[in-house]
Amino acid sequence: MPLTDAGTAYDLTGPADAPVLVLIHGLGLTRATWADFVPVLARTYRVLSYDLCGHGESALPDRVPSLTVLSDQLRDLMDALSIPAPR
Amino acid sequence: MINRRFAMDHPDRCEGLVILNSPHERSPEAQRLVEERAAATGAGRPAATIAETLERWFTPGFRASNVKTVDWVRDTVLSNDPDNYTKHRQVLASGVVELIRPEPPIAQPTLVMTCENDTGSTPAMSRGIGAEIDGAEDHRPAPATSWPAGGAAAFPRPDPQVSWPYLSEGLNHDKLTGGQAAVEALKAEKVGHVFGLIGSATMEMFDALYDASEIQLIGVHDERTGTHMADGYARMSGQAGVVLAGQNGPGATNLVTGLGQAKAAYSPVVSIAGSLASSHVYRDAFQEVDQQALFTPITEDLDRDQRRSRARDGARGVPRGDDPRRGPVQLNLPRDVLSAQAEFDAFQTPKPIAA
Repeated sequence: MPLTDAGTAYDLTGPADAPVLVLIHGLGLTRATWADFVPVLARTYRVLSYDLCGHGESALPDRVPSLTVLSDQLRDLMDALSIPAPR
Repeated sequence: MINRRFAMDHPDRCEGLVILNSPHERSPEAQRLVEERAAATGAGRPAATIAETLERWFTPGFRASNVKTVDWVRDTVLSNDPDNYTKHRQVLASGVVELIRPEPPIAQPTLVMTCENDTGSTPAMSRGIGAEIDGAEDHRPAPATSWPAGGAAAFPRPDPQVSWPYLSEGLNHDKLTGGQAAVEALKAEKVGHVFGLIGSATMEMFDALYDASEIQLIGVHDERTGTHMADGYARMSGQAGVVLAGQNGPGATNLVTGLGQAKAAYSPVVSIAGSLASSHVYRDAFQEVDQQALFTPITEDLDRDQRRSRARDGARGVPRGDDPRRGPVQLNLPRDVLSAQAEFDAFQTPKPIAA
């Protein structure tokens, strides 16, 4: 299972040069939410799905959760995977 | 909500947003109730609230027909770290406030969608989110009960490069559902038009018709008119007229008058209705009607496919062109046959209808 140094579990699939599409699951669930969608979306997109802090296989957050903590988690994940800003 | 926060915090990192079933501004009273409910998750969470959560997320019908999916959601939610779950629930309950009227506004191209019956993330909330995004347009596809005049083609289709699978639990792409097989059989018979009323009893067929560009679905308000339309189509074109009922029971009884007329006129109408799941027959089940007995005197042929591998075979009766007398055919497809998957051999080659 891919895991960043910060403890975020993720799956990244699809053509390396395709636009990156990030899938965010709902409260209490995991990235497995998207299992039926990923094979289809990955024909067109570089699909990144991940587990929110403390969900699924991701580590518990090191701060009190907030939307900004969750938004920073995604930014850190994109940084860790060297996903550049869109052109 | 997280992607909105992300777009606000890191606008340079995202090119567009898709916001699905997301809440927005509530009345102060409603906001207070949502936050109280999240705070009350309390000890024993999330087990304390899982039943209520599942009821809010899924309709009774969905829960009944997607047991594996609902079980997975229940098990997944219950496997959360309780403290972490509660904290995140509170974030999502109270965090919506910080997303209202963001300054500066979200400027990325954004698609906001929700469902008509989503009481937690209502259509009004989605419109509220959209209204705060520059250049927003409000699109409201007609509900399925009032299919637009253009049939399936009138609905926006996904990118044609993406062939959306028929989404159901445990889908095996090498197999077809009974509903897909029945539509494949209609395609093999070169059926160009189907008159039908969308309903849950034959939903797998309507889903398959959505993807069948060769067949135009002509939506009707009532199976009774649909049957007459199929009859008229058959008489004028010389080809089979196909009508698809949305419901078993009352949807099927609505077919009777038109089929009686077609029988009298030797008109080749192919009438398809859902019927009870095989295990529910003769158990006084919901909308149970003995459709076999009902249609016997007014059809040339009658079939109730018990086996999923035969879901297509009824449609082989489409032309009945080599029969001495033409006439209506009734096909009752049980719920479990339409939804089950099976592998199918090559579909039939149609025979021309005798003049």
